[in-house]
Amino acid sequence: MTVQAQAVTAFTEATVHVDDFDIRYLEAGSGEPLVFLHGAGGPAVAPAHEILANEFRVILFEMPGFGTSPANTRHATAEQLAETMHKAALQVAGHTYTLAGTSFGSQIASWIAVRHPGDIDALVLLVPAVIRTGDFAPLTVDAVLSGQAALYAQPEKAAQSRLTLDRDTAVKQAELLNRLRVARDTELETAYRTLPVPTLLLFGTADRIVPSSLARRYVELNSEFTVLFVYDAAHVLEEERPEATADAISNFARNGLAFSINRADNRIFP
Amino acid sequence: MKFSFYCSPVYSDSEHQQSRSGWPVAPVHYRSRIGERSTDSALEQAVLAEKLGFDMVSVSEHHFWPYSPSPSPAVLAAALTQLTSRVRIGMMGPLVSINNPLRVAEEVAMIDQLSHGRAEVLLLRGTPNEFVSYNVNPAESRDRTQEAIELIEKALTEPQPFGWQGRYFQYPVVSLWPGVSQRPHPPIYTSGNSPESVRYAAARGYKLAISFYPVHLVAQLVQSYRDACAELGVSATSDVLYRSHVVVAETDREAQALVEKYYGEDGLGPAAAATGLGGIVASQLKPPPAPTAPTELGTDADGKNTAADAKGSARGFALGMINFSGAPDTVVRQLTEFQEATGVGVFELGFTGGGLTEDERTRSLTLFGEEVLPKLRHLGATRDRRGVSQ
Repeated sequence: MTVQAQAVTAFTEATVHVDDFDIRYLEAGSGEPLVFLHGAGGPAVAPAHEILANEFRVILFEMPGFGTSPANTRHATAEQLAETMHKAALQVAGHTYTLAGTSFGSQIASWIAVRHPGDIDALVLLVPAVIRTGDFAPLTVDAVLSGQAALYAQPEKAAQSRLTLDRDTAVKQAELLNRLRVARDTELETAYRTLPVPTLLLFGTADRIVPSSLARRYVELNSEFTVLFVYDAAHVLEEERPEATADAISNFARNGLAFSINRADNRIFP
Repeated sequence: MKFSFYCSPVYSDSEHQQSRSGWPVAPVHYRSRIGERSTDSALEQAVLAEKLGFDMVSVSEHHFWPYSPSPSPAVLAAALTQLTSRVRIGMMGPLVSINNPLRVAEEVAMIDQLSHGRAEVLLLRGTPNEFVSYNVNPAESRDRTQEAIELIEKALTEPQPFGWQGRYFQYPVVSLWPGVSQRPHPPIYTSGNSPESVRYAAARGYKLAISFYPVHLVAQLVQSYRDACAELGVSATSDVLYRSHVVVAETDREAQALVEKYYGEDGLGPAAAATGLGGIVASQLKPPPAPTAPTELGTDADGKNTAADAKGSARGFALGMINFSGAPDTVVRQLTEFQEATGVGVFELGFTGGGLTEDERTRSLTLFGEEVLPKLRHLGATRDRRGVSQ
C-alpha cells in the first residue's frame, strides 16, 4: 500500500519524567506506537510524521539536552542516553514499540534495540550516522548553524525547512553531541552482527553527509538488515520525500521483513 | 579517433520503402523471409566492420517500426557478442524512460558477461512515438529517465542487496546477477542532445552521445560539456560520440546517387517516426516555457522541429539527411572538418538505409573501412611539439 498524504493530525505536547529528566514529547494519531528519535539538529515535526500519524500513534521525543530542554551534562555516552530514552518510550508507549532514529538518533535507537531487543518490534534507521566516512570531526556551532542547506537535495525544500536552530541551542547541542559522538562505535558494530530485531535502513541517494555508499557496510555486518534507497533526497528524508519515507516506515512497521511483498491492487480498471 | 558501426536491421523491403507509412507500421506488411534476411545482413555487416578495424558495433531500440525493428537491443547485442571477438558491444541504447530499469541493468550485465567485458551502454529517453509504445506520459519522460539511470547505475555497482524508493520506480529488493565484468560498471553514455542533458552528463561523470545534429550544434554542445566539466572540476572525457549516417562510393557522383535513394523514395528515414501517429504525439508536446524549463536544440523527445523534419525542410537537422557522403577522399575531408570543428571522439556511423541494396551497403562499408577509417585514426589525438600523434 502506498501511503497518501491525508488530513494533518495535530500533535499534542506532553512530558514524561525519567531518570530525573523532564522529557518533552509530541504525540499524534492512534494505533501501534511508533517512536522517533531526532537527529543532531533537534526535534521537528516533519510531513512524514504527519502522514504516519494517520495510521500509527506517533511519538516524537525531545532528547535531554536538545531543543528547549536544559543542557544535558549527565550522559557521558550514547548508550547511557539510550537507556534513558528507552525508559521514556516504554513509559509513554505502554508496551513494545517500533523505533525509528534519524542520523544521530539512529545511534541512540540502535543501542536501545541492542540492549532491549524484546521491547522493540522493528527498528528503522534513517540516514544512520553510526558507520561513518573517514572524515569524522567534532561539530562546531558555526558549522551546525550554516550547514542547513547541505541537508537537502532540493533547494525549495531547504527553504521550507522545519528545522530551526538558534545559536544558544546550537551551542548546547554541540557540546552534548561532541561528548556522545565517536569516530567509530566498534561495540555497536559488533552488536549489529547478532541483532535479532527486524531492521530497515533508509538512505537518501543525494545525501552528502551520510552517503548511500555506506549502506553496504551495515549489510556486511548483518545480512538480515534491509536497505532502501530513497531517490532524490538528501539527509532529511522526512521532509524531502515524506510520502516515500512514510510508506517505507509504515510498510516495515506493519510487515517487518515481509514488507517486500507487494500487496497493492494493480488492476487498472476493477 | 574511434569508430562504431551502427548495426541497424532495417527491414529491407522495396515495397515498404516506396510507401510513406509513418508510424506505427501495421504488422500485416511483415514478411518473415525479408525480416530474417534483413537482420542476418545487419549482423554480417557488423562482423565485417570488426574485420575492417571498427572499435565498436552498436544497436539501438525502436518499436512498431520497420525502419529499425530492434525493440529489444539486448537480444541483438547478445547475437553480436557471439559473432565478434574484439570490438566493443554498444547498447545504444535502451529507452530507459519506458522500460523497467532493473531489466535494463540485468541485460547490460548479461551483455558484459557474454562479451567478456566489452559492453558499453547509452541510456536514452526516446522519441515521442516511443512514449506511446509503452504508454508513458511524455511529460514525465525526462524525470523517469534520470531516475532510471541512477537506479541502473546503483544496480550495476551495489555489492549488497538494496531496495529503491523512487518517484517512478519502486523495488523492495534489488540484487543483480550476473554481475558486470567491467568494474565499477561498463562505460555509460547519456544523451547530449540538449544543454540540460549535457550538464546532467557532466555532473554524473557520464560520457556524451549526440545524434544526427549539424556541425554547429554539435560544436556548441561539446563545448558546453567541456565548460560544465571545468565548472564542476572534473575532467571531460574525450569520447564524445556522434551518430550519423554515411555513404561511400568510388566517386562522388556514384555516392550522390546512393544518397538519393538511401532512405527509399520518401526519403524520410528516421524522421518517419514523426509522421502518422508519431506526428500527432509530437504535435501534442508543447515546447517548455523558457527560460527555466529544459530546452531542446533540435528534434528529440520534446517534439520540436519534427514537422520540419517530416517535410525534409529542417535546415541542418540530419534526421532524413546524409551529412557525410562521397568518394573516400571526400568523406575523409568531411569527417576531418567535422571532428576538428566539434571535438567529438567517436564517430558512430550507419551504412544501412532501407533504400540501398545489400551489395551497395557492403561496398560503402568496405570502402569506408579500407580507405577512410585509416586516414582518420589520428584525429583528436594530442600532438607533441613535433606534430607527432600521441
